[in-house]
Amino acid sequence: MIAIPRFPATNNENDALRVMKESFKKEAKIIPHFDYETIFDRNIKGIFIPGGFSYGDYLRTGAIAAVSEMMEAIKTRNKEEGTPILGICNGFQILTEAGMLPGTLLKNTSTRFISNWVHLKPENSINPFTHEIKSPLHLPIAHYEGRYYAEEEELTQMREKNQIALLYSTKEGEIVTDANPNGSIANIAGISDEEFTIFGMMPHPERASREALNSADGLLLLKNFLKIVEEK
Amino acid sequence: MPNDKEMKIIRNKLGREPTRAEEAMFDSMWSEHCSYKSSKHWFKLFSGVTSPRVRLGIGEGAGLVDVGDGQLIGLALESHNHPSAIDPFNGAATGVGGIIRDVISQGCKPIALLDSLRFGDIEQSKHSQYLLDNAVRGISSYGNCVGIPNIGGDIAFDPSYETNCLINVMCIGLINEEDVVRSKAEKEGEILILFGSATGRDGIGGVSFASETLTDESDEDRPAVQIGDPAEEKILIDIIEELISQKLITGMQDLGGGGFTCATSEIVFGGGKGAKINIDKIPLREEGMAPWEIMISESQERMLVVVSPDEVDAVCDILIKYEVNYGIVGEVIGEDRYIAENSKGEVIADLEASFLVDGFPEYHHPYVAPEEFLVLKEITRGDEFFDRFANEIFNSPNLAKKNFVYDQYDKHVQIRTMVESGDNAGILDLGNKKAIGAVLDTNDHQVMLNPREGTIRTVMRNCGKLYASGLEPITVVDCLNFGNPEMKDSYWQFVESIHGLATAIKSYNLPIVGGNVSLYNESESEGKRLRINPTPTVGIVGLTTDNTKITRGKIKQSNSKILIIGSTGEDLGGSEAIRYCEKTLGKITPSLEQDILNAQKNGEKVKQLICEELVLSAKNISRGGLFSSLAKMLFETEKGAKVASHKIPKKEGLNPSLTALFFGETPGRFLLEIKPENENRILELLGEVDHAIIGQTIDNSQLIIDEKEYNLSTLEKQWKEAVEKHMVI
Repeated sequence: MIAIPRFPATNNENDALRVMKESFKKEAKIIPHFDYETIFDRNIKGIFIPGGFSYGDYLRTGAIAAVSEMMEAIKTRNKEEGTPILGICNGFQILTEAGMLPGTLLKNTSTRFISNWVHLKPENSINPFTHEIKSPLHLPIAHYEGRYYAEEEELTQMREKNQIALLYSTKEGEIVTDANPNGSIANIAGISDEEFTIFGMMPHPERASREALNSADGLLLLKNFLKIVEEK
Repeated sequence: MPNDKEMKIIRNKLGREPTRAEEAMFDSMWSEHCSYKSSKHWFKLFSGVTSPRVRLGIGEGAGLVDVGDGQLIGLALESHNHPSAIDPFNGAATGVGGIIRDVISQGCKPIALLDSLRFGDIEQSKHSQYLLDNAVRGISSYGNCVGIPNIGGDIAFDPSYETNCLINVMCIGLINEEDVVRSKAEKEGEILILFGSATGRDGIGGVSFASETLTDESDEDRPAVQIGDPAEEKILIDIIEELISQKLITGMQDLGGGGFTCATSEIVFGGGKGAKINIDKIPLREEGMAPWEIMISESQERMLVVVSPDEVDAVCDILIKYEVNYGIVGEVIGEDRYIAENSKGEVIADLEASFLVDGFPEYHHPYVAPEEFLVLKEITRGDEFFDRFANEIFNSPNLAKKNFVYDQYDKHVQIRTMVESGDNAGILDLGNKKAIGAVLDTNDHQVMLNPREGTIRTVMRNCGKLYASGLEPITVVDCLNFGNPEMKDSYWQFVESIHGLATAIKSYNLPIVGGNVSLYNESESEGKRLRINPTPTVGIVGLTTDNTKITRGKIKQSNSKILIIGSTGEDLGGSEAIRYCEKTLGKITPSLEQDILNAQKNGEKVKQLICEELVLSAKNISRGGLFSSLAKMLFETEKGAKVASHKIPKKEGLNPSLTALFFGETPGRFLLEIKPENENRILELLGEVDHAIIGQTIDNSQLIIDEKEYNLSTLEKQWKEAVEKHMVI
């Protein structure tokens, strides 16, 4: 079973649920913040933190959710059992705020919300989250604070450990400034932790999950996540 | 405050002076915004059009329309003009919040938003640039946070909106038929529970503020502007989902204009009952609020539910779990009374519920055509104007690509969006191969020239956009933005436009299931009267049962044939080319009954061709005429087109100039891209409908009309920058 935690004002939980159930025939369940103890249910094998505006993004995006009982529970499961976690958009912001992924997400350079399509190039094939994905993916983004930032030293370490998994690119896969929608450092769109159990990305794979939505590329990334869950 | 005549009616009825709270309650409930006292009697013109799809028409939060498979869509459209003119961010944001609550109050899940915005001339006015920028940020901050995709609408500019911008927001909801909740309290003894945000002083008297003209002092009305909390709204949606799934409520209404008074009195009046209220049970966020302030505050994110006494504990348990404020504020009583008391038993208000909700006098204001309407002159332009119009028209902000705005709205959340804003119509996948599409637009310059005809053309155009997508138009919502109804000429515009709307919906057989009226969009500045263009915003929803056959408005390939459907007349009057390039408007010719029927028939044919998979791309010809529509189909495709003007079918007896052929806005015309091998089959299917192959698509980025060549990348650059270049703030 995949757990989909819902904080107050999380708003992508039903999308995550639908894709898990419809596209992958996986058991999945939305867990409201007040039911955080359910995270310790033995049937839960993976955790998908969906996008939205947890706690209204008040104070700082993801900051309040990061110190919630729900995140404490999720952190414990990951630390003690290595339960895989996928954080999309606000989920990614929460994971960086909680210190579970390196770096931080700042306001877009445009200082405006951006909802648009991007292309993403998988940076390396060692990282299991992007394993066997060769050509650029076409996915939507929708965020106000999606500009990834980390210090140069940290980036070097992340590169050495194959943590940098997805980069904003052109359709052809070139990593250029024009393809960077929000000013992220080194065009970074998605990263993992050192152990490859936690993955966060700003673009939305669940929104590119059927041809009717103009792309099904997101399924490749979600498939890798579910494979990691299964192999755990 | 109620006017003298109304105060007299109130005193007579009560047999005493109203209390301070009662006076404030009447002020809200009898305001134009809540009562529709100047407009209501005209709505009977719409009543003849019905459809078996309609499950709930005008009257509650949202109209409900059957789209098959046991699913209904809920539709609501409202303005939030006055607050946005004072505080664009919060005014626009709470406009979004309010319309979402209208839809969820019927039990629906909100699945899409559209907005129609009007501002002053952004090429000149810094103030309008500021209003646009902040209104868009407000809409974006609210809709995105609640998690509802924005799939379209329109934005246009005209100096008449300089001091009265328009923010019209439409929300579409989705619900299974068995889950519908009504805004009615039908059982004596049931309990009224209020939950959501606590009540404060924001938005006090918001509806009466919206029912008067703005003046230079209106900035002091800032407290009448509400402040939104979209995170709270998303929590309300989660709570309501749980309440409905456990079948714990028997009625529901949101707190919008008129606040607590309006929601509680309307819900009991709707069920033919009364209410007994204890105002001390209303959760407050400010100290020392007077009873009248509590009764009419328009604090956002509040819902009222009707609950059987047996279920009160279960409901409260859920509200406690979600950590929201709530109060058991009253009960439904059998008699037609509205009693509000405090815990000490002191009476705040005591009157007949029906009198409060429905006792207002209706106003039949006098109306007369303004002088300027009577002296309008026909406008024509010869071939020699063609080249200048072609080179200038894409600098018009009204035609521009609006991605600067649309990209600030989440377009994909809820994973149903098949076609995004910016195309003919925004389209959502409803599963089981079904899709709905929606258009929200108005042709305000043409409405200004001739309110009746302009409104008819607005309906024709919006239906055209749905047909061009391959959808069948099924229902309408409207938002009628006009000037002061107490001014004869402004009220004439309103009355004429209503007649136009009634004519058009009859012809297309489209029932109106919801909407609102926003009058008093006039202002005075330094003694000068400023009135908006009359703006009947029309939202139309279309349906298809095979969403694999949807068409878009972008050219797909080179060497396709370009087909025009519908004939062209002398229709430069009120066109974008004349407005933008000649700084005048001219006059528009009324459509004959046959013209409207032809437009509809043309649309039906387009839809049929799309259903038979004979069309590569399609667009209805609207703002900017044939030239602009064709160029827009080509932009961002790296393709071009070569067309011959003499092939364009002309209206009988007319010989429009080259300029009129390409820039005139004759309604009911379409451009289709088709494969050459399908030509014969298509021409056979078109039969009697006016049509012609006017050219073909080519592999380089040129638009070639007869011997004239236009570089599409130059036009595209103008189109992309026409709004954005004014928005570097």
